[in-house]
Amino acid sequence: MGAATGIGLVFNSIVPHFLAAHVDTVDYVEVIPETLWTDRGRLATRRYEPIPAAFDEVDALAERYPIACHGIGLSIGSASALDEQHLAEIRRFADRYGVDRISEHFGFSRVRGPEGDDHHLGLAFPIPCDNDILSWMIGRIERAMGILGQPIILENGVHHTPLIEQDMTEPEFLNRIAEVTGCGVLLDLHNLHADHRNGGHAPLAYIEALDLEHVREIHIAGGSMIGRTYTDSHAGPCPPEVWDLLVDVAPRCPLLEGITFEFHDSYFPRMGSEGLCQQLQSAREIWAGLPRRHDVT
Amino acid sequence: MSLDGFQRALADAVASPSRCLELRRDGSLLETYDLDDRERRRLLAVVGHEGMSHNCTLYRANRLTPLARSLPRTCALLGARLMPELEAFWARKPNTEVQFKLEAERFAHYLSERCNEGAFGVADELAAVLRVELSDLDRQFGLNSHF
Ligand SMILES: [Fe+2]
Repeated sequence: MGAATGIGLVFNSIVPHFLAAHVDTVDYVEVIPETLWTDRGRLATRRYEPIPAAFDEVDALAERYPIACHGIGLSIGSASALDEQHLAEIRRFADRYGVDRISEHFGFSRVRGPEGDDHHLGLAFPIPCDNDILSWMIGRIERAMGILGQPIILENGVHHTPLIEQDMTEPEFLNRIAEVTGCGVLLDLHNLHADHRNGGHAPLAYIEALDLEHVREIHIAGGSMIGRTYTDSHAGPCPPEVWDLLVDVAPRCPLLEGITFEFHDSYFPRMGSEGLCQQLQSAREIWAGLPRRHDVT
Repeated sequence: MSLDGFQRALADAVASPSRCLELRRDGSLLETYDLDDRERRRLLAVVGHEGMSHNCTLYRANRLTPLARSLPRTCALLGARLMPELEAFWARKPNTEVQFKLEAERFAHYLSERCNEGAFGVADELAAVLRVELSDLDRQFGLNSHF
C-alpha cells in the first residue's frame, strides 16, 4: 500500500459505509488506534483487548486505502512515566497496516495515580512551554520515536485556559523540539480557529511563528458553541475561516503529506453524505492547487 | 520543575467546579501540592480564567459520554434519577475511566448494588435492561467477561 498522502478522513463508525458508496473521495484513512481495543491500564496483566469487529473494519479499509495513525492515548506531556507499553501497542498497529505517519496530541490527558496507574482527565491540556520542560520533553519524544521506529507527529491542541509566564510560545517550543528530535507537526487549523473565537491569539500569528517545514499534515474540522464557548467538537462542515487558513498555509508547508477532515459520527446527520463529499472535494481542490511536489503518485 | 504537582492540581480542579471556586477565593489551598511560585501563579490564573468552566463542563461531558453511548436504554429508564445516580457513582469512583466498555461495566455494577439496596422502584426492569445492554456490549467488543 502507498503512502498516506492527499486527502484523508478520520475513521469513525460512519466512514466504512460512506466510503463504500464514495470510494474515490479520499486517498487515505486516518485511524485512532485506541478505538480498536479496550485498554485495561498499565497495571493490568492483560492490558489490551482487541475489538475484533473494529479491526475487521480497518482491515477491509486497509485493502483499498493507506492507513495513517492518529493516537489520542499516549499523553506525551504527562509528568508520569512514559507509557512504553502503549507505544509498543501503537507500533504493533503501525506494523500491521504499514503506517508511515503516526501523530499524537501535544499536551497531557493523564496524571499519575497513587499506585503508578493513571488518572484520565478525558480531555487534553497544554503543557507549559518552559526551558526545563523542553529538555525533558525532547528526551521523551526521542524515546517514543525509538519505540515507534519512526518520527512522531505532534498536533497543536486547543487552549481554553492559556498558561501565563511561559519561557517561549508554543510554536517556538514545537520548532525547537522538531529541530532536535526530527519529529513533525500536525497543524490543526480548526484548533487555532477555536482559540481565536474564544479570545485567544490570531491563527496567523501562531502560523507565522511556526517553522512550516516541520508540518507533515493538516487537520480541518468544524465546531459548535457549548454555552459561551466555541468548541472543537468536529460538528460538521469547516467554517469559512478554516478554509481561508488552509488556502493560505498549505502552499507554505513544503513537506505537507496530507489534509485530513475530522468529523464526529454523531454529527453526521447534520452534514449527510453530500455535505461530506463537498468538504472532501473542497479540500481536494486546494490540494490540487499546491506545488507539484505535493502530487499523489 | 514540579510538573507532576502542577498537573495533579489542575486535574483536581477540572474535576470539581466547587474546588475551582474555592481556589479562586483561597489560593493557599494549593499548598498541598509540590509547586514553584510560577506554577502557583499559573494555576490560579487558569482556575480564574473564564475558560475553566468550559473545561469543567467538558470533563463531565466526557465522563457521561461512555455511559450515554454504551447504556442508552439504561440511562433513559433512569430518567430524572440519572444525574443524581451519576453524581453518586462519580463520587465513589473519582478516577475517570475513558474505556467505554469498562466504564459501562463499572456503572452497571454500581447500579446493581443500588438495586440490591432497594433504591429503585423499577429494579427488575432496570436489571433486565442492563443485562441486555451488557450482552450487546459483549457482542460489540468481542468479549464476554464483566463484573
Ligand atoms: Fe485534530
